[in-house]
Amino acid sequence: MVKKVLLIEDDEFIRDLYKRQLDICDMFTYAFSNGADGLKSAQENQYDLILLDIMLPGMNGLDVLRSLKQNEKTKNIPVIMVSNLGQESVVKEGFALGAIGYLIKATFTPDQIVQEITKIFDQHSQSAQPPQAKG
Amino acid sequence: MNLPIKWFLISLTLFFYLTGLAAGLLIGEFFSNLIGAIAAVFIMVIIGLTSYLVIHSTIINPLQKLQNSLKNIGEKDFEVRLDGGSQNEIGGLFGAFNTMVVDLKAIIEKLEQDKNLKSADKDKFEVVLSGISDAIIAVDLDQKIQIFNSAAQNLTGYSTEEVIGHHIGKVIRVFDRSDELLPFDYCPVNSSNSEEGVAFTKKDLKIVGKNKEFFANLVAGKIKGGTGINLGCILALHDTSEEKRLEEMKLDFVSMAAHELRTPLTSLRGYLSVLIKETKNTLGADDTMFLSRANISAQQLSALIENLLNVSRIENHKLTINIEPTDIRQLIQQSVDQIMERATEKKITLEFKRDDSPLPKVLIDKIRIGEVLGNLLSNAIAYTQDGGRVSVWIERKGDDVVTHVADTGEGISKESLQHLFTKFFRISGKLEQTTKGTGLGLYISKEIIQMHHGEIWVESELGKGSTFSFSLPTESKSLVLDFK
Repeated sequence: MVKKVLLIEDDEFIRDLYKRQLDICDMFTYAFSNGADGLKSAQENQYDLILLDIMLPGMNGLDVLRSLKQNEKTKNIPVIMVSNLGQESVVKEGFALGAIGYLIKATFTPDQIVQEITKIFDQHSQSAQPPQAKG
Repeated sequence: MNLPIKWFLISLTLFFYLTGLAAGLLIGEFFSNLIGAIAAVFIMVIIGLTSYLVIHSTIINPLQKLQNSLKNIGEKDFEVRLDGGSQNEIGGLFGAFNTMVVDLKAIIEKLEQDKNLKSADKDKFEVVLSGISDAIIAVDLDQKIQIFNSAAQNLTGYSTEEVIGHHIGKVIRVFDRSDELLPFDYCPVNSSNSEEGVAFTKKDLKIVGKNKEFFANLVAGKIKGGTGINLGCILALHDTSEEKRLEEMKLDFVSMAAHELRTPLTSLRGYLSVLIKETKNTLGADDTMFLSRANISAQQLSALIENLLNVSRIENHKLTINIEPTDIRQLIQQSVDQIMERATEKKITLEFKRDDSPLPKVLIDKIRIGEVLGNLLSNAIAYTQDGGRVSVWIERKGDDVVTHVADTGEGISKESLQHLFTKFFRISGKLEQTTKGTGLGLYISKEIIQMHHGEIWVESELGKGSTFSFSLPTESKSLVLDFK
């Protein structure tokens, strides 16, 4: 089944590379260069997965993640952080906010990134529990 | 004049007087008339007067002189001398007195000199102490502060008067990151005199003083023979707050720079990998080689940046690992595949001798162990001549999985082996000139393997090649290990 993926990444080349590779691998990708446009698109479309860069102009990745998780319509979409900023504190905060994975771009070629994304996504889908009621 | 001497002189005069009287009476008896009586009285008076004058000039005067001179000496006038050159007892007394004054003067002068020297030493000591920019604190055998120099005052916010005689633990608190160190640890006192020297040394401790805190390197030394002068331990605190601030700025910069460097490099490598894949069957041999070389260089640049970043993280205790159960074979295969191009370029046979026997997963950080593999493989290829061989295999040893990377390079000398895993060490030899490297790879690898509770080692023989090996704990063993 074709997955619908939202990619939020400010670097034009990387955005292009990932979009190409994701498209090759049967993922229909919408790519945006900033958080605000990405968030808007997330409201308007039904995405299966969101790939989120951390260092973004204006609203940063963690802010975007927070907004996604606060919104009823988008809060259950799995989010994978994709960044080159390997800072422990940022990674921890991302996971605390509900991200399901973290990938350092420099460590992977585009096809490896897609492999990793597929793996994390599949693991998440298998282990995903029904959302727990929050009190 | 002393009373006993006075009474002695008065009785002596009286004695002469009575002697004169007796003589006058005898003479009066002899003449038996008034003239005789008058003459007797006259003689009596003359004798009495004469005896008084004689006694005064020979005894009382010299004694008075002596008394005055003693008074002078009491007032620290040592120039006083007595002269009364006569040969009698008084003359002898004066001579002895003069000798005594000379000796006394010499003794007093010597004492004064010693006192001045000591006070100069003390001044010097205090000037030196206050001139030292590090805080110097000395405590006695009960760990109570005895010496507290001006740098210590500036850094802690306490004045010397406030702390002298107070227990060191009540004055400063010492933290190593979040753990508090107790005086028992950082300020050991010497009770037995059996050992001396540096007893404690630690960098980047947080010291909390009077409403003030700072970072410092601490060196503590036990004082030998300190029991005699009641000193047990001396502490030197070197303020590193400024260094720490600069270090943090540097760290932020490195992190920022790494991010900025990684971004273009990521797309460079990304586009190259896509291009290589898409043109696999359409390009000529030369073009394929050019692309492959560009890709190798980009990979090397990327590994270099990662190594620099890792060193910075290690030095700042910021290197962390995120462990997960991992199939080590799969990770090795990935690393071997990634570096295959470089081996092919040098016509080196690179192989992973894998068998498919059941193998427990290892608990590792895939990215970090991937970096270790990358470093070992890249070294093996770099230090092996064209046409050589690099082999990788694994074996189970108890609860560990050991990975070996062997090459047919020139081998490592015994002298080099012991320094191999230290930072910036590079092997000297004929390959040194031609082989690129920062001397960081093995240092980083060792740190990473140790964080995983594993070991890394090397066996090598000159002319025959080297085998680098590292062990990693399997899932079952990892349960009892503490990964930080």
